Amino acid sequence: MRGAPGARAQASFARRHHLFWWFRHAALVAWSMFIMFPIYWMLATSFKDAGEWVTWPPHWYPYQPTLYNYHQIFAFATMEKELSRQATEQVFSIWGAMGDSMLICTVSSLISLLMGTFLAYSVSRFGVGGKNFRYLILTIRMVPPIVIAIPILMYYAIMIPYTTDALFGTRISLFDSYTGLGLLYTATTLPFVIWMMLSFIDEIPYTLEHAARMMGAGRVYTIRRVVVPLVASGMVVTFLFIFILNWSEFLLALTLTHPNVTTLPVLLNKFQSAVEGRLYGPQAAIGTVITIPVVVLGVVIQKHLIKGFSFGMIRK
Amino acid sequence: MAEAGARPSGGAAGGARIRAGRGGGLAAWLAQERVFRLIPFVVVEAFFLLLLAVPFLLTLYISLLKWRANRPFEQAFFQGFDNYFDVLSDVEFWWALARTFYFAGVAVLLELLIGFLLAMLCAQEFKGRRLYITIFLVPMMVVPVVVGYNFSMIYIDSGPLNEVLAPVVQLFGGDPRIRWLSHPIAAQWAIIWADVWQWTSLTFLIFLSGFSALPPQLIRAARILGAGRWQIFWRVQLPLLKPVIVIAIVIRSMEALKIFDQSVLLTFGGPGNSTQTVAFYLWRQVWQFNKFGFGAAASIILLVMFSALIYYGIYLLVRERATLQREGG
Amino acid sequence: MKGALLKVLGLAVVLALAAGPARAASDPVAERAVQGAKDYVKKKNLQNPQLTILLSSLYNNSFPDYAKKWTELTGVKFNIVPLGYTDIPAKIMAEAVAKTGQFDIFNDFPYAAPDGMGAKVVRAMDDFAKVGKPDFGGVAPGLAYQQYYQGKLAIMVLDGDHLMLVLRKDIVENPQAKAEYRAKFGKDPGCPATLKEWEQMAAFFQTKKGQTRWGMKFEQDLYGSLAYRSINFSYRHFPMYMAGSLYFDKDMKPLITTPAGVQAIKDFASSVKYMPPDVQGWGTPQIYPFWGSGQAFSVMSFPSIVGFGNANPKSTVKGKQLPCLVPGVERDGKLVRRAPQAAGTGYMVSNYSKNPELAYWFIQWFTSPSVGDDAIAHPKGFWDPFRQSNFNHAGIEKKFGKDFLSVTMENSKSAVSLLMIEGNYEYFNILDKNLADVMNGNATAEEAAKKIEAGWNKVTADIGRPYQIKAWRQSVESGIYLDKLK
Repeated sequence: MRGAPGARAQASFARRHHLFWWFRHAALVAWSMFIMFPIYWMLATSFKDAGEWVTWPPHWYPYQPTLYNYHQIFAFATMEKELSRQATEQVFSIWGAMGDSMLICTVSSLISLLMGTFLAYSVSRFGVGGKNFRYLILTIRMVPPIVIAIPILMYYAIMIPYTTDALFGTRISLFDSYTGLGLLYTATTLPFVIWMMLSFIDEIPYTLEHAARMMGAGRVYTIRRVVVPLVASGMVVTFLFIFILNWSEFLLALTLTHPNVTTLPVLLNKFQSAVEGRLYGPQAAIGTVITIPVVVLGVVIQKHLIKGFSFGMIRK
Repeated sequence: MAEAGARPSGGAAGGARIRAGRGGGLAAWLAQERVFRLIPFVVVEAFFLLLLAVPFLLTLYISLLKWRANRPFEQAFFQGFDNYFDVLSDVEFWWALARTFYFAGVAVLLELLIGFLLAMLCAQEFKGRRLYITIFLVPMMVVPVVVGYNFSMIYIDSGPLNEVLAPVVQLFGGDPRIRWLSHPIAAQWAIIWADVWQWTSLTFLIFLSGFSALPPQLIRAARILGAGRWQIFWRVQLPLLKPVIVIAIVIRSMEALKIFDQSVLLTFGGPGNSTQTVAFYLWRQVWQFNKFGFGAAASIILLVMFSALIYYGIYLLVRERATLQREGG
Repeated sequence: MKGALLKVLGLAVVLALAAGPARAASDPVAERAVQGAKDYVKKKNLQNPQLTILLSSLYNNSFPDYAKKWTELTGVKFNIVPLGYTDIPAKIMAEAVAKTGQFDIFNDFPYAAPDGMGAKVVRAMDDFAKVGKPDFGGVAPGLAYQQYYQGKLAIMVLDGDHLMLVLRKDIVENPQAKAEYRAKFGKDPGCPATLKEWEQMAAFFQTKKGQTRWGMKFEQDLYGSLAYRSINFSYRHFPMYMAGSLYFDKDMKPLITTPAGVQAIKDFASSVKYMPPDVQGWGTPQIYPFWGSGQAFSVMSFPSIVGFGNANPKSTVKGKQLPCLVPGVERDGKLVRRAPQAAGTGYMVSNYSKNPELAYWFIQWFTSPSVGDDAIAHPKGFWDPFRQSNFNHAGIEKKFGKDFLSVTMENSKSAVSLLMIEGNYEYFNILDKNLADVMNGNATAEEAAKKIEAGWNKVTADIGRPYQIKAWRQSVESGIYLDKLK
């Protein structure tokens, strides 16, 4: 299927091929438009003034483009504008939430990646945990977050402080803390890490490590110098995938954090007013700001992404 | 994980020098295969146990309590399985469950079909392929809350979607103002399409990944043997892709059954209860009506139900893999 | 136009600011609060005292002004945590479980108080009030006593949000329309006395797109009426239709299956005929702009709709609004009007606050007549007038207009609180769901009434019947529903 088909085949299929060319591009362009439309609308709205968010007929592009929405979300203090009863001139600074989100997602994804990779290695090489461990681990992932929100809340806010008080004499609460949310994010993404990394590690022939070990290298040295370089691209893919999952998580963050720790999805939910409904402009601006970095990252590692998602389920 | 992270300093010195010193003795012990292989396992399991097992037991306990949060926890009392009976006899619970399966079923089916078709069209190298792939992968990376808000803008009665559809709808004599968010059936489709928009990118990625992992020599061989395009697809490619399809189904179903964000952000379960999924139902019982005991019982019931399903999915995966290994080996 | 508006609003600010300090000096309630807070800080020897409030994000652009003023007066700093109003009840309940003490004050609807009190996350303020002596004078009973739960002061309210009917003045006063209406019904069109009459007007004034009536060409449909009919909103309007009858008898037996209850369901559902077809999915974000676009003859809504109609730049109904008293129901030959307090916001002290007294002093100061008046007059605020003293406040008069003020004050006399017992959100939801079934034609009013009765009984049993009966009787006796137990 790869590369140009033979010349003869091409000649005989020339006509059909031409039709196929049209069909393919028609289908792909149609889907691209479907995909890009909401994105475009978000971009356009982020440059629209309050009066243009909802109009009939809709404005396909901002008639009076404004940066006001971006001012609002990047502002540090209240702004002065003409007085009105509308809630459209509130300030929603995203810096704090941006920092919190970045910190929690990066650290917890990294920890999850490290733990998961090591476990995947030991599952792949030594069959730890039994034959079906790689699938059983997925059960963790299927628990709907709403199910664990209340018990976790009690665990974090009551049981852990109580226990640490009894044991160490200080109350340590994980409620509304970076650690608390980060630990949960690590736990909920670990199954995916193990699963994805397994498929990458499975592909590396054991003989390489064996040779390294024979030559006297230690286990960790072998992993670091032989295995990790070979699965590095896989680790990047996995990291990005779970980073996106953590970056988007909403329910647990809403229940277990705020006000001390606020992630971006929780911040986004504040954008409502009694009268105008949702404040589409600043919302779209935030949406744009938090989407762009992830998309750029995704495009950069696109090639690795395509390699990594068959989960080792194709026979070589 | 801390000790595993710190270990390279000991190991990097090389196997021969490890035996020197007391620390080296520990390192040597850790490097034994029977110990080393278990380190990550123990760490991860201990982590899960500490973080998730306790809350899970707590959920079990709460599910047996009579506890509405308009009374403090201290006043909650044990009442056996009453909560379970209450959940199972609540018509709305079953409706919400049925709706969830309907949403998940339709959405996942569409995602699989469209994703597969797109992956097929993008499998070969052609001009513009990279651009298409880039575009198709974007939705995956958009935060679901943002997706919710974007679609709520687009679905407004006087919004862009109806403007685009108006000529088509009017052609068939329909009302061009489709009430995407306030008509019961339209609202259900609104949620399904938002889900399809976002997650077709994942099925597409999985299938594309599968296509590009297909061994080219097999296909070349088939072609030399005179197989046509369709024959190759049906007889060679599709059977090879079967395990990947199973994976896509399992991953997507697992996430789709949890569908929550969109029904909150787009319709808040309405109009009526027509978009109330089981996750939203649970949220409402717990955080709006404060029925914590009831919510815990419903959670456990759901967990059991979903487990049965997911284990079936996992069983499929295990079987696929076993075949794979048998044939491959 | 915009410039004129700006000037008016600017003037309002100046007046409000000028009036503020002058009046504050003569308001003992506010003075006591400031003094109380200062004394408390001194007594406890607090370094860097601070209060944290969980605030509905709607007030993000008006509340901070008062927080700042409070800091200037007492030295107590404010930490404002804004959150979407749909998430606030959940956050309060999370605090009930977590008991972190990270909030001192909760800001929410008055009817959030019962659950909060029951869960012991909201602290009764009676002991502080005994010293502070807040002033609820000039507040109608339906609004004043909703601040209590089980006889204890649970929440202090600074917002009247009792419903109001608004008609299109230009259409009502159109001479041709007037003549036609008179010929048909024998009287001039105007504020309807009963809900029946409102529906009759809605039917009369409903006009299809493209028609020419009364010398006016209708470019778009004119719907006869507009009101909230969606889940989470229906319950706020329904008491109006059950006017003169309570939801329960003295033993918490639902009265919804009585003839009055069934009739109320029928009337409530039949009013949908003259509303836009999507209305069952609509909330404020849809209803306000729709009214502003001039596509409805009448609207039953929160009072702030008048301000929206006058001030919103896209509004086409500026100066064409006729505020009316809430129409009533005939009971035994008497006209009974009930204007449900459909939202409104109040302030509660957290039970886990480290400085509950300090929190209370702020609430007393903020809701005191002088500061409260200023807040309601705040040009960016969403608070509505509800108290006699509002009537004489220059800033408020400038902001809302004399006509509107006199109607909303008159309306407040028939204001009733929503159900103030624990589990009320579940009672509301059962009502909403079944009303929706009737509106969609999936159930008759009688069937719905039976279902509501069964559902309500189940909730009552679940929470504890004797407990609920006690709270219910107390709430009725306080007079918040205006009607009495039979």
